[in-house]
Amino acid sequence: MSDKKEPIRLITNYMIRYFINGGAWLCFAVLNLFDDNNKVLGVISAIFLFIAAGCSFASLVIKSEPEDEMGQKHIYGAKAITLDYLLAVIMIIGIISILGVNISFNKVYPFIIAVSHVVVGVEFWIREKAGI
Amino acid sequence: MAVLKTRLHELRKEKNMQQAELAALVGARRETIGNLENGRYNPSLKLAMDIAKVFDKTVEEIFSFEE
Repeated sequence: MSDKKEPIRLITNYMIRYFINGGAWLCFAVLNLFDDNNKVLGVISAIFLFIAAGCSFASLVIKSEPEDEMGQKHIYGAKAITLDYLLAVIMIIGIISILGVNISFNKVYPFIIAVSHVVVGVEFWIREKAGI
Repeated sequence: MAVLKTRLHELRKEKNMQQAELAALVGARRETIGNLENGRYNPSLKLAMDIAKVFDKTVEEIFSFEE
């Protein structure tokens, strides 16, 4: 039996880098909405951020199959559409704030990071499975 | 809209070649070959030519567009 480790699939790598990472940011974002002085929530939040950082780091160092032209096309497409969604969300937040509703950037930014990661992961997955 | 048709599956079977083997020969992933065979991905000219070279055919003999 060969000891040589098989590289992980590109889709798995991107799911770790974007989807799980984004999920951890989403959990942090939800916890961030609650009381800032709660130590337990603070520790749990830190764990989620640690998981997010770990996912980013792991996806860079884990041996993965190389990106080919279809993978590149799909990830660029996923990132491009995510940018459009993100700009739309930021515009909506801007409009709401102009209308006089105070929005705390500290509470909103984790959601923006989470969504920007998760949407890239989901869009890439859809493109890989459905083929575009 | 024109649909990409390929003879990739047929040629691969003739040579008794796995998708992964062809993918390794042309520097692509197995998923890319799978999507190509199902007409769900339009290859670049370079990839099309690399595949044609593996089967010793011209690009037109492997790929075609149908209305």
